[in-house]
Amino acid sequence: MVRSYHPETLEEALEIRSKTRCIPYAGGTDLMVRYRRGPGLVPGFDLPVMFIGQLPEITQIHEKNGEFSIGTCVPYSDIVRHRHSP
Amino acid sequence: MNETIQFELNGENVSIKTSPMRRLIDVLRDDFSATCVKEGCGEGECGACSIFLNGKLANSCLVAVGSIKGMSVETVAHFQTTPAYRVIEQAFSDAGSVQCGFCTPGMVLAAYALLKENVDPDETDIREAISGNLCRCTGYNMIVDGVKLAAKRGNGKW
Repeated sequence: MVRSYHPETLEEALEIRSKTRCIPYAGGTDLMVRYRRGPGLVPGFDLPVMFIGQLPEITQIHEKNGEFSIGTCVPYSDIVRHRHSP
Repeated sequence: MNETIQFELNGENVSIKTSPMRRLIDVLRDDFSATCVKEGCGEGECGACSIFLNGKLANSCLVAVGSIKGMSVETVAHFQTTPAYRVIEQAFSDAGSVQCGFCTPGMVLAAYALLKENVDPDETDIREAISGNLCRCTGYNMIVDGVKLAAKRGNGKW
């Protein structure tokens, strides 16, 4: 059974990543399918997992001087619903 | 390696010691007896395992329980206690939106997720809103009718 990491900042996540072989887990859409083993069974992850879907630096859409930066973990639905989306 | 994971389930704080990689659907069904959360495909295509995660529709078969520390989970069994549910329930019943019923918990939650953001959806909006939910019985038309009826009867009060 693998261990997991729960960094609270992007910096902490990058430090863990630099020292540990681990799988970054954001929403799970791909990973949970790839490692699934069936109902009632723990998905078969073979490396530690680092949960990054909660990191504020990469889960928000920022606007500055008319330019937008979209965090890598922003869900598609949040982009679609953003007030500036056409 | 087991971890203690705390989250909110249907308005109550709960704590569980388990592998963080277990699927949320298994935790809900096996540890909390939330059998209203159905397993269809197990790979995020059918929507039978839908729940609200921090108020947003999510497939619980694709969520590792370790990723929801401190978050809120609502199942259809809890949503069932609200006036909004009763409007959708009656509309689905009157429109014949339920046949075998397996997809219904997910369809009801998808309908509510739509109606609370769009009180007057057109048919395209409705079909898009339930596009993540598979139904093998109705051919969808009667579910679309049910959501239309719910929208009309809900009259914007979502």
